[in-house]
Amino acid sequence: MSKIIVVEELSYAYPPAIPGHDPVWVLRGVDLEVEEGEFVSIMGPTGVGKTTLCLALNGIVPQSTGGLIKGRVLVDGLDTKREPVPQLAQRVGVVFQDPETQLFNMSVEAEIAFGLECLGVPRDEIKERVSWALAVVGMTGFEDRPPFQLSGGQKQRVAIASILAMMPKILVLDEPTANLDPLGKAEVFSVVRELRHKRGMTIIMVEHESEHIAEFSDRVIVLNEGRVEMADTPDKVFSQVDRMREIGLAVPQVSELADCLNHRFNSQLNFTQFDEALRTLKGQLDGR
Amino acid sequence: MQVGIDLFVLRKSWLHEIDPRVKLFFVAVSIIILLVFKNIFFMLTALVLLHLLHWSAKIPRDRILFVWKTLMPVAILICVLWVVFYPAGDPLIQIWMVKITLVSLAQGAVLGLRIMTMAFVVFAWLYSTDQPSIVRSLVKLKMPFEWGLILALALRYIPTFQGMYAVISEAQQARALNISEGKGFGRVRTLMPIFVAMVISALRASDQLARALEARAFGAHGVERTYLRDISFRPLDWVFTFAIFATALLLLYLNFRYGFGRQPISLF
Repeated sequence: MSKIIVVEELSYAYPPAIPGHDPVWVLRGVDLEVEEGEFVSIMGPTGVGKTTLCLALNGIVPQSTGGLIKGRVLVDGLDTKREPVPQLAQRVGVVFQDPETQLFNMSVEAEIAFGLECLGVPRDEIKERVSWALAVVGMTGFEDRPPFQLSGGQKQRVAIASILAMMPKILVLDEPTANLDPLGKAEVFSVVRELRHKRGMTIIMVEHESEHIAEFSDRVIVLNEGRVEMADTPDKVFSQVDRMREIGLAVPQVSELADCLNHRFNSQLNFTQFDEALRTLKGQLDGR
Repeated sequence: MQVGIDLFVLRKSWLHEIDPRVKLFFVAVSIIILLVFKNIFFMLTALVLLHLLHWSAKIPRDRILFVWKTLMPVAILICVLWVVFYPAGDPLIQIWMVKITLVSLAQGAVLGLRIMTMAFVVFAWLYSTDQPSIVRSLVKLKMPFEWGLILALALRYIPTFQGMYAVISEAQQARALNISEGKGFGRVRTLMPIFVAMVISALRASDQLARALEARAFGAHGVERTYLRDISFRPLDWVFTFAIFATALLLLYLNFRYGFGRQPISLF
């Protein structure tokens, strides 16, 4: 597999809020490589630069935000500092945290068609892609509904569909469930599950729900103080329960259980998902 | 009756079917005619015809009443002020210094009716045309797409900002802000904590919106924009355009050549 994203020594500071003040560096030398088709989750406490890293992937950082930047980001071979954002949008689709501010049309159909219209896609193809994207997120039949009348989960699914319709190689989901109720979260994660297992897209997801991260991810990146602190498979990252706790991040409950059992019985248990935990523990008990 | 951001009434009617540009042409031409004509009978006829237009377009009665309720006070006020301040001809009644004449009464009525007829012309367009079609028609008439998008965004975010105001207002009231306190500038000062929070939230939302637009390839260079739902002139639209144009031309000819509708009471 080829590397579709290469982030080399990326440091970034937003322009200071008060002119003349020193810039504050949000990212401090981030190195990251993502393979084509890989599912990478990014975790980290608030303010460590997760959203900034996402925005750097489609060029909004620094092209729209300004500020100071060092290092470089290559996406599908394109330098995101030089390639215009609308051109990069065809390769990297970003779904933002707040669905309210990313849905700006009067109907779901118009919302999904917007990006395709900007790209000059022929009308018949727009129709096909809109239908396809709505089917992928399970929103067929909602074409004429105004987006602001939808529930939070439905809005976020429409936001995902509007990006999917542009058929980017990489999908970036920046805390897509942060503003949603449990039902909305379930709706969005079911779409992510579909994309993960049936579509094989390259997906970068910023998320705090460690159970879902464990379920979906090939790799978990933990950002802390603007740097990559951990970058490994979910079971290896979530086995470092104490360190994750120090950073202020949650691990799946079954990983905490494994950690407790390891401390109590001096065992080497490591699991991140419920089924896996059940199987392992059942096997251990049967073996006694 | 609650009238939201979208005045559009979803119906299947001939008025809904015709191209929005034809309706816009009708609005422009009608306003010119209504400004040129000064006859009370012409205005009354126009008002009746406009009600028939709304009725034939299946516009609900409450929507028509909404126009009356909203603009009637303004129309009456204009009529009264004209009668009081611009007396012309022999007085019918004189109360102290105020002379009421038949001519000024007719002129006042014409002005009031002009407000109502113009409103019904504009509302016939707004009730029968959805917002995307309004924007598309303006863009088709060579308005830059960016301007059309700004208009569409302004309309789209009205409910969002209404919701934002409600949330901020409730949050500030929960912190003991009495929003019914004060009058005039005092009231403005009372509402300041809501306005400041609104401005900050609006700026944040606009920043995120700009990012969302860029993420959807808005402003892609070297690409000719396409449209999923485009509007196009059909033969019937040409017929309507010609009919509107011919009627307007005839009325203006009669007005300028024979004085038709120039006097407040007599037609010629």
